[in-house]
Amino acid sequence: MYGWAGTILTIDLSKEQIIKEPLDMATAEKFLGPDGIGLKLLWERVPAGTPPLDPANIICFGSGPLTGTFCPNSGKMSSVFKSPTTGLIGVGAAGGFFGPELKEAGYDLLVLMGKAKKPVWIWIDDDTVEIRDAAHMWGKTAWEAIDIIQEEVGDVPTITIGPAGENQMFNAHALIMRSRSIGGTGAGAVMGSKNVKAIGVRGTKGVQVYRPDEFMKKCKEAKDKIINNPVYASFARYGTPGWTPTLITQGVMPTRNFQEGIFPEGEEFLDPETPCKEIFVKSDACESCVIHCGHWCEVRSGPYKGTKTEGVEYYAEYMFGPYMDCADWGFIVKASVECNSLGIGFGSAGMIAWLMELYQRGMISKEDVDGLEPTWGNQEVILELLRKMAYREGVGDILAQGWEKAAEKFGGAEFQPIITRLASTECPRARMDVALSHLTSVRGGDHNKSLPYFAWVCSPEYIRKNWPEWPKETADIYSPIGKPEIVDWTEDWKCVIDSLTCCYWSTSVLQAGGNSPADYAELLTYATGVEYDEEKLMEVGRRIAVLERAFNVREGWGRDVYQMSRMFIDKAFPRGPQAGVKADMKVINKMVDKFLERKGFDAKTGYPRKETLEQLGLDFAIKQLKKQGRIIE
Amino acid sequence: MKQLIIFDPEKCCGCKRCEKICSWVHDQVFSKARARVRTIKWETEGVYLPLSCFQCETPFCMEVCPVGAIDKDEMGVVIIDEERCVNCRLCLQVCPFGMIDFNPVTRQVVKCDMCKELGYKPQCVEECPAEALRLAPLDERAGLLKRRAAMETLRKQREMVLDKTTMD
Repeated sequence: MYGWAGTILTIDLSKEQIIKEPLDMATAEKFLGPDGIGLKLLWERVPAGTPPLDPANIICFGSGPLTGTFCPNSGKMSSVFKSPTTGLIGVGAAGGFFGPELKEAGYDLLVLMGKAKKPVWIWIDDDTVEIRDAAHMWGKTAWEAIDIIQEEVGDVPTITIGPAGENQMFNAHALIMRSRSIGGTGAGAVMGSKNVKAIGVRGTKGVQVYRPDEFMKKCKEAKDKIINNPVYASFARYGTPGWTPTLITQGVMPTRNFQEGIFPEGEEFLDPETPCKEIFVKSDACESCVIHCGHWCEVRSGPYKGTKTEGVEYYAEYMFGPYMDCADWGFIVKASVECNSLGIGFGSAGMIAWLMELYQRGMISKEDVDGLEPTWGNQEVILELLRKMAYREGVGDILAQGWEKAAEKFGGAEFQPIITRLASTECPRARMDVALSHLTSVRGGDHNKSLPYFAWVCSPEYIRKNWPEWPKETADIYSPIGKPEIVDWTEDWKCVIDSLTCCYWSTSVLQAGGNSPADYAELLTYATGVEYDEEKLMEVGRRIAVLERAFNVREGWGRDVYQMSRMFIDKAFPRGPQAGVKADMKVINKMVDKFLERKGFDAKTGYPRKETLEQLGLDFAIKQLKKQGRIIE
Repeated sequence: MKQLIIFDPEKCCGCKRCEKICSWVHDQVFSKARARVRTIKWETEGVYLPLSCFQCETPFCMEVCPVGAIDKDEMGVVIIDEERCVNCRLCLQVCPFGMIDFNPVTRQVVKCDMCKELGYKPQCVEECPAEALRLAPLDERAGLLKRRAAMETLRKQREMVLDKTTMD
């Protein structure tokens, strides 16, 4: 087998059975990798309407045909499940070393189904797969569990959950190694609901490619394209914190629960050189990466002195920085470590900022928060609330049930930054690329699915030259024109990337002269022996993107799921470049309509058109949706 | 000219591209388990140490080999003659640095041969994206270590001075 490993490993936890099935090549060709193949399995194996934390839900982890090879930035993995956070499809990708190691052990996909009677962990050592007792790890933090596993079987890549996952907190994340995660949509809660504390893997089989000489030559070209890119130097030095100057210029820095778009009091804090001076020790990378956007971080002074971890990036920077009114890199590192070892996704940490706004407005009192005072920037309270959420103590138990339950208790739903059932990561008021991509994201409103970063990273000339069919306003992020086109394309492309599985940053951000779909089609052809070209590869992306959206329709989410929080519609930033700008739903909804029609869905109902599914060979989906009356014929 | 691979743990970002290319060059497969260069990681400390054979002046592995299968070639590289090797693994036992590896698939002892087949151009050095691996003439290594030791002393002294200043 070339490129792919050729085996799907299913673990039935209820029956304590280990099932190895050969990968069907026709499926592999059409659905490429974990994002696609896993999605198809999810559709087939999980009945419509299954509650996400029910044993009948499944969770797939896997890596695609380029992972484990020498292809630059291919050290990724993806996961697919039904999300307990949103009720929509749960998809997520992560870096680290787990994906490549699983591939080297001989598996494309690992599927967990059912529910173990008692806490277990899964040990995969090439052909030997064991369901081991995890009583001694249950209740421990994710980092403690990793220590125990490494003591038992050696230094191997792991997926673990912390107490938040065990307690099925609504968006607990699955931690990959020590500092990378499949977060946002509750992968950790699904693992917790199945009583699976951890997965460890060791592989010695390796990965082979079909046309080795051409493949290696193309790998070299692909690497050169990345490192000769103008964005490369900044990315290699700063990682994602290198973007803050752009966001400051645009005036969209999420500050104090999106009340402000600028953070002048943290000017020095937001300068990308500051973390380089204060906490970054050296660069850090996922497997096969030539960019190394991660960092090894150590806090050298202050109350958190001695705290160290890999991988503090932009999300942590803004979430525990301006978003909660702190400007302290030591605290960013500390909070990241706490989130990772407790198993909490950064997205739910945003609930603390929401509580802070309610407290600022006098809508809640100290008594509501177990006697803690959630004033802006109160670091001790933030850390204590994180702990309470993970262990579901007091107010933490309410927060751990999700945004809706929390609003039932405290009110203030109009201050929750929810877009399409998920807490937003960026401000959609002025930027039309953010508004459309967040509102129509299949996993809920965040930047992980279809935000076209290259709209503002690349020059307008570049976009015009490569996509002459798009309107000339496409590169203008404040204009609604051209956004349906670029978001539609990006969504398809992201599905390809998550299935290959490669790093998003080696493509879209570095798109100007970076590796294009044609380049990846070539790599894929050489690796697998199956002929791909740009058109065929993008069709695979479209197939996955359409099926993901159709999955949401199957689960009952039509056009009315695309909802934006009132806080973005009714309120505006009081100062800065975007002062006074509110989200104009008339304009935005028009974009959504156009986007859905482009995607082959009906704008009114949000249901897919029959011919869309037909053209992509998704007949099984037609059958199911017909039964439910959720297809436009 | 006799050359050595110099490893700089402070630059290593831990991507393991060295391991991937090593297994590719020697086994035509991408498999970290079959690599002859290893990035040893202490993930809780952020210490990544890429290492392969130092090509000792007096290699223990060569001394103990009962069938004379290990020898130094004209470039000073310690080479295992696979035909002669009986896989007793004595070399693996005695190497003080653990630089003899065991290939789990071919079940043979293997070690770094500085990519002899490719004209002594070690591919791990070529492919390192962080310049943590470098090829240097044999004499330079001693110089590098001296320089580093001096820098470390200097840094410690400076820290002591700074500590004193803040205490005052």
